[in-house]
Amino acid sequence: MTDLDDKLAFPLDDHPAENADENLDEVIGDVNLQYRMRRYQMIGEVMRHELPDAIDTEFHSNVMQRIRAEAESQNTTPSVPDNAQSANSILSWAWLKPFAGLAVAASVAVVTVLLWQPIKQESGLSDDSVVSAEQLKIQQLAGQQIQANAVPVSTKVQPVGMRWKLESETPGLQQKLNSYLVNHTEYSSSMQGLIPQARVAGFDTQQ
Amino acid sequence: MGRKLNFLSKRLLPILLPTLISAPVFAGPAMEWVQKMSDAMRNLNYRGDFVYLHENQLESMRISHYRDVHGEKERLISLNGEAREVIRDNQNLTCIWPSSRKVVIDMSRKNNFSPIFIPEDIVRLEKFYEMKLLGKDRVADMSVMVVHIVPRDKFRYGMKFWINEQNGLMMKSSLINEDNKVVEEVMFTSLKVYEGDEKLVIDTMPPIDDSFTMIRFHSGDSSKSFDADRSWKLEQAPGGFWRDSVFKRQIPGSEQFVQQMVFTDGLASLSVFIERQTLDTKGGSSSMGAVNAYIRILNNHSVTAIGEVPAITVRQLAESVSYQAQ
Repeated sequence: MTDLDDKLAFPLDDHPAENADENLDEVIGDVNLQYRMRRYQMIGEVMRHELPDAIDTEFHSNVMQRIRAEAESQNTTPSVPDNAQSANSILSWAWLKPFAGLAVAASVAVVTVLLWQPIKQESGLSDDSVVSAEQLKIQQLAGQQIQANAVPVSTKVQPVGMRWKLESETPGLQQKLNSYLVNHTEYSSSMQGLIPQARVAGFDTQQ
Repeated sequence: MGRKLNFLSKRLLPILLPTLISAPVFAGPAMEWVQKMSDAMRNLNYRGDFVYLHENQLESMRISHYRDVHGEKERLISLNGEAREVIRDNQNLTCIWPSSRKVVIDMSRKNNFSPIFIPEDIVRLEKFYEMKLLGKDRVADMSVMVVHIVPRDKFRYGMKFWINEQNGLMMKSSLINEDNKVVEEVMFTSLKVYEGDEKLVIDTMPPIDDSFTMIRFHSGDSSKSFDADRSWKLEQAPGGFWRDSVFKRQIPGSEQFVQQMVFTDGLASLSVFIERQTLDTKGGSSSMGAVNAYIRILNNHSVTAIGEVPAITVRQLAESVSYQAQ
């Protein structure tokens, strides 16, 4: 971690560093530093388990309203003292604090839901045969964090590995074909051109 | 002279004729190299990193293969993205997906550790493929011999093997489709053979705690088998593929069964899976890399043909299945 990182990382422990005002002034002038600081803030939120329960879909309206209000107030005030400007910059910081937490929460929620679905759809298995402590945790998380009006901040989870190209996507079909391929690979005793288990190890993790 | 010819025709020809017919080009040096590769992949202890190319997607993997008096053990790890693993030993085929915390355990089929199987019936194989020895090349800084297996019809893929001259291990392989395009490729970037006192240690299974979901597809009782449902018929498989075996298994956690019929032409293979329809699918074609599948709904059952063969082969195989109540 560089000295600059050290200065910016105080959101990790939620205590302002020495010369916090100076640091904030530096951040105000550099958008890259602002982004970096926000990342530290998000990491701090996660480490302290301060994730919010849900995402408010009206949040963006509140943000826009607040920004407009700030802009208007700046327009009506010809000269802004340094301290006040620092205080404004905290908008980007104190104000974004809950936003950052919400973003992380949303991402976690999306991932947990996407992970939960394939497990539930496992080929013909009853729930009893696959329930584990982790699944229960995931189920609880999914139940707690997704609310009717909640929207994910990021809905895209990068696929890893191979997926079947299907004429029409049917729930459970990817897993079904995977299980067939595992058995085909295992029970056919022919050359198959290459190391056949590579196909199995190559399955998309989200399946 | 006449008596000599008579002797030749009566005594020697019956002995020599089968040899003259079955020995031709096919059983020549190309076949010997493939045989050498098969033996090496099965019997040597080795560890290597390879890249696996399919549908413009490149993955790197590591394979460790070990054989001793107790049998064989193999571990395959994906080196990029999620550290997916496949571990095979005498009893189990275990697939581990660490990120989604899933472990799938199935029964391994003994004596099927090598990816290579050389058919006994070479003459029959010659009807479907032509084998060519292309000469020498170099892979991963090692000298190799290249063998090209060319299909004689559209029902199977072609294959190319780059075989290590020194130890016979497969250094590179390609599956080539009917348009002469490579559909899957494996190439080792490093490979170490363990000989003599040098021991290859295959780490045991990675720690799996309670947070993992274990999905076991067999009870451990290998004697538990079910009679295949003979109402399902497949009289004539396309492209000369013949039925190699039939299995019927109970789907874990369910009263349902799935029946698997395996077909082969000696090099390529495909399976038909038949089970009561549970998914809301109308059927159709699917593919993943070189593997094609075709689903057909018949008598409230899904009939799925799947294999590393062209799409036309799986489709025709699935459509050849019929149901005749006993």
